Order: sequence, then C-alpha cells, then structure tokens
Amino acid sequence: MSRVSTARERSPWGAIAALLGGLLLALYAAPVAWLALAQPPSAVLASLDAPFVVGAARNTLVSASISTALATLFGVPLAYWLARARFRGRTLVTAVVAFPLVLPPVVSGMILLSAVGAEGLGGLLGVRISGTIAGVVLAQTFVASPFVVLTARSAFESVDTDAEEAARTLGASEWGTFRRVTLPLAWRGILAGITLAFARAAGEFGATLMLAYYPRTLPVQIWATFQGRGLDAAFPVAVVLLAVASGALVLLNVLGEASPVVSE
Amino acid sequence: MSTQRSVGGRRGRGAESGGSTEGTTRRGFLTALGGAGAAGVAAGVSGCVGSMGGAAGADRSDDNGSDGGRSGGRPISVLAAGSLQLAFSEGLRAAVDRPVQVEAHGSVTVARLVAEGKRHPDVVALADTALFDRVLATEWHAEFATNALVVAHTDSDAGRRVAEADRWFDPVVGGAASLGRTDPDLDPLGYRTLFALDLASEYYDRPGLRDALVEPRQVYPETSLLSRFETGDLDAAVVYRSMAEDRGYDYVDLPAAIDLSEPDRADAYGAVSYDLPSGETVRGAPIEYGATARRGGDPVTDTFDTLVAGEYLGDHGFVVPDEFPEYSGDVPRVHCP
Repeated sequence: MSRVSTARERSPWGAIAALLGGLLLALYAAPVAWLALAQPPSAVLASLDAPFVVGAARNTLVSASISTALATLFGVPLAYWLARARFRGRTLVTAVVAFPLVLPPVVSGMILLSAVGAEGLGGLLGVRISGTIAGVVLAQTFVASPFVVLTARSAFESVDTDAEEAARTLGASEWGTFRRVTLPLAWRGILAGITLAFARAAGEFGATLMLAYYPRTLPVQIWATFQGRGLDAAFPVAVVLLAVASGALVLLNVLGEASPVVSE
Repeated sequence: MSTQRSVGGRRGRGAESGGSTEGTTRRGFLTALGGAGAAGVAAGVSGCVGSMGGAAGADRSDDNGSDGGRSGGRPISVLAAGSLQLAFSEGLRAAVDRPVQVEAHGSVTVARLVAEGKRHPDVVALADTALFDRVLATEWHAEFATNALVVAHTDSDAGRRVAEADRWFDPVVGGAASLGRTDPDLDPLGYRTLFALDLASEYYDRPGLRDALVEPRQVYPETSLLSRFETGDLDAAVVYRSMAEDRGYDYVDLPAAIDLSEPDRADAYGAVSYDLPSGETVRGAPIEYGATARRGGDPVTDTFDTLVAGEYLGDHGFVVPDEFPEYSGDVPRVHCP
C-alpha cells in the first residue's frame, strides 16, 4: 500500500542529513578550533611581529589573488567550451584538466621546475621563473585552476540551453547571450569555483616549495618554521594563514555576490 | 656540553688533491688572479694547487652564470641541510651584513636539486660530506662543524623513564617507552641512528641490542617523527643534538663511542655500515657538516668564510673542533689560508 507523502510529514531524511553533515563539519572544525584555541593570542600576535611572517602573508595574498584571477580569466572560457562543444575528445580534455588534481603537488612542482626551469623553457627564453613571485603564481595556478574549470563547467552545463536559444532568437549576439543570460545563470557555480581556487592557491605548499621556496608564502613559512623550531612555533603562523585566507575568502564572496553579473 | 671554537681561524689542508697549501701566497694577493667578476661564474675560483682547469668545472651546472659575481645587494643564496636552517637563518644572517636567503631540505634532496640543475645557490651546506663526492661531484668543500646523535625524550612518565634510567635503552627494551627513528632509506639521520645502535651493541656488550631497539613500525620520515614526538605519540627519539637544542627538547647525551660526534673516532665508527636500497653501502662516520661556494666574488666569499668560521654555531648545538674549517679538494685560492 503506497501513499504520497505530504510536505508536513517529517521525513527521517532531514534528521539524517543534519547528522551526517554535522559529523563531517565536526571533522573539519575540530582540528581548526583546536589550532585556534590552543594558540595563545599572544603567540599569534608575537608571530605577526616577525617581519618575515608579514612578508609571507603579503606574498600569499598577492600571489593567490593573481593566480585566482588568471585561473578565472582562462578557466571560465575553457569551462564554457567544455560545457557547450560536442566533440569526440571531450572526456580526454576533461582528464587533462584533472591532471593537477591527481598529481601530488610536490610532483607537480618537480614537473614544472623541469619544464620552466633553467634547463627547460626558462633557459630557452633566458627568463628565471623559479624563485620569483612568477614561480609562486605558476605553481598556484597549475594546482588551483582546475577547480575553476571543473566547477564552472558543471555550472554552464546546468544552464538551460532553451534560455540561450530564446535570447538568440530575440536577436542577441552570441557574446550578448553569454554575457546577459548564460553567465548570470551560471555565476554562483563559477563563484564557487573561484572561491575553491583561491583557497587552494593560498594553501598551496608542495608545488610552491619545489618551484619557489622564495619569495616565501605562508605555507612555506610554516614549513620552514616547523623545520627550525618545531610545531609550537609553527602553529601561530598557521593561525595567521587561516585568518588571512578566511578574510580573503569572505571578501571574495561578498564581492562575488554583489557583482553586476548577478544584479543585472 | 663543551663547545670548542676555532681560535686561530683557518688552517685548511687541501689534503685530498695531494697538494700542500704551505707556501702558497696569501689570499688578498691572489684574489686578483682569480679575476673576481671578470670571469663571471668562475671568478675567484681557482685551486690552491694552482689548477686553473679545475676552476672551470667548479660551477658547471650553472651555464649562463647570470648573476655570478656582480651582486650589488643581491641576496646570497644558501641551500642547506634542514638541521642547519635555524642556525643559518638566525646566526649566520646576523653575522653577515648583506641579505642571506636560506633554503633548507634534507641533505640528499639538497644535493640532488643542485646536481640536477634545479637550484643554483651560491653556497651549498650538507650534513654529510660524502654527498659532495657522491652526488654533487664538487671540486672542493670545507668541513665546518660536527653534530652528535642524542636521545630526545618527552616530559611524559615514559619519557622521564628514559632520562632517569641508568642506561637510556633499558626502558625501551623493557617496553616501558617507545623509541622512534627516521627512515634509513630516506635520510642520513635514519642510517646514522642504526650506526649508533650497532655501536651501542658493541659498547654496552649487549649483542642483539640493536635488534631489540629497532621496531620497524616506529620508522617515520623526519617531519613525521618530529611531529609525533612533539605531540607525545612517541616517548623518545634519536635526533641530532642541534635539533634538540633548536627545538628545546630534553635529551640524553650518548657516549662519544656511539654518538658519531668525534672526527678522531672515524675508524671505530667505520666498523658499522648500512645497505641502501640502491645497493650502495654507507659506512659509519663522524657527523661532519661541509659547505662549498659555487660562485666567486667578494660577497659570496665573505659570506662563505663567515659561514665556515662557525662562530654562531655553538648556540645551536653544533660543535666546531679546533682544526675546523678543514678544506678538502681543489680549493679556490680565495679560501686558502
């Protein structure tokens, strides 16, 4: 005997979802809360006093912002193309986009170092990339940009092509349709991708370590401090990274939500 | 712990190249001969024994030599063994009046990065001088400090048992405390720990002591070992004295016969060995730190000389024996005594 359930009936799903979700949230929150609480604020402030921590925080913000911008600039078109184009090698291209996610970051760093270092492209062009902010940006873009591409691709795919066709029928150009119909509808998904990419870039360690130990970003600084002085000295620097990155992520989302793309 | 310091400054020996340094002219005189700046990379790098041929190869991995020599305010880059990181980034930086960039990894990684042309530092400093010949193939190096193995212990009950026992290993053998060590296949600290345990079997006349202390599950990469030890997951760990000092660990000193600290005991230490997975066999040897300069020019040379003079090292648990720095190989004249 089957019956149609009504909205009023309490389904167990609500409770299960909250429980499962809550457990996962606790897994994320517990170590972070411990980290933040176990660090006396004085220790965190003292670490801010060290010029190298401030420098590393600045490098992290600058490089992660540039890499996120690059990831968006190049990643959104790639995502759109992957979502709309129909061709045989599509799965293969998607697999290529996922390479940086599959490779351990240290390995990515080694590959990039070989490819753009003194014996690769950098040597050919006479440009030094390793050990420069460009190296940091390259490492971060490599590792973080797939988040923009893959998330934005899903977002574009979920946009109803009928809406796009309607716009075209009404005389909008291809660019106009993308600008006024597709992009606003996909924007939240794209913004999620941009947020992920920024978070990943700010926390990037392995590839950065290989490609550019200097100029130091916070993750590399945490490692260096740990190597020299141990966990207790490294934790306050980690709190600084958390604070800086969270602040930037909140700002990114506020700006993203208020962007003209959606409000139009 | 007594910290010996080099009093008379350099007394280098240039021994291995077969050349005696006695009678060679003094440094200032010869800087001109090296042509500081003129030859770019190879500037100032010429053998104490007068071999100019050796000079050309001294920096072969740096083809373009883009920033050799002319370094107006350019930071001096030092690629160093992890255990030297704090000593260099604090002590050395303070002792040198120009910017110094210190990058630290495991010694084997450092040697590989340079040998494979992935890094082009001005100065390389390693925790195992054998790596200069084995991996880096440099013309020369200077030994500038020694270190020792110690048994660090936590402040827990089990950790204190290790500290209070008549013989530090009794609580470990008896299962009352856990002892961690690093992977002998990954870093020198790992195989040096095994050397020390082998030597301990001999020293305490306890055959099988090493096997009793070696618990395969308590082998970690260095980073992991230190994290576990610091969070109390391990009661004791075999580490370098410099690490224990820099990180503020409590530790038990080991007898000189097993702690690999004394250059004079090289023969005794050499009685033990370890077979690496590569098929190579490493022999026990004193823990000696070595450095080489890969570029000439006054800024690099001055920094290098301060680095190997080692005035700042005592604060970080290293020992600088009187006869150090000790040069081997085809030493550039600017560094010659």
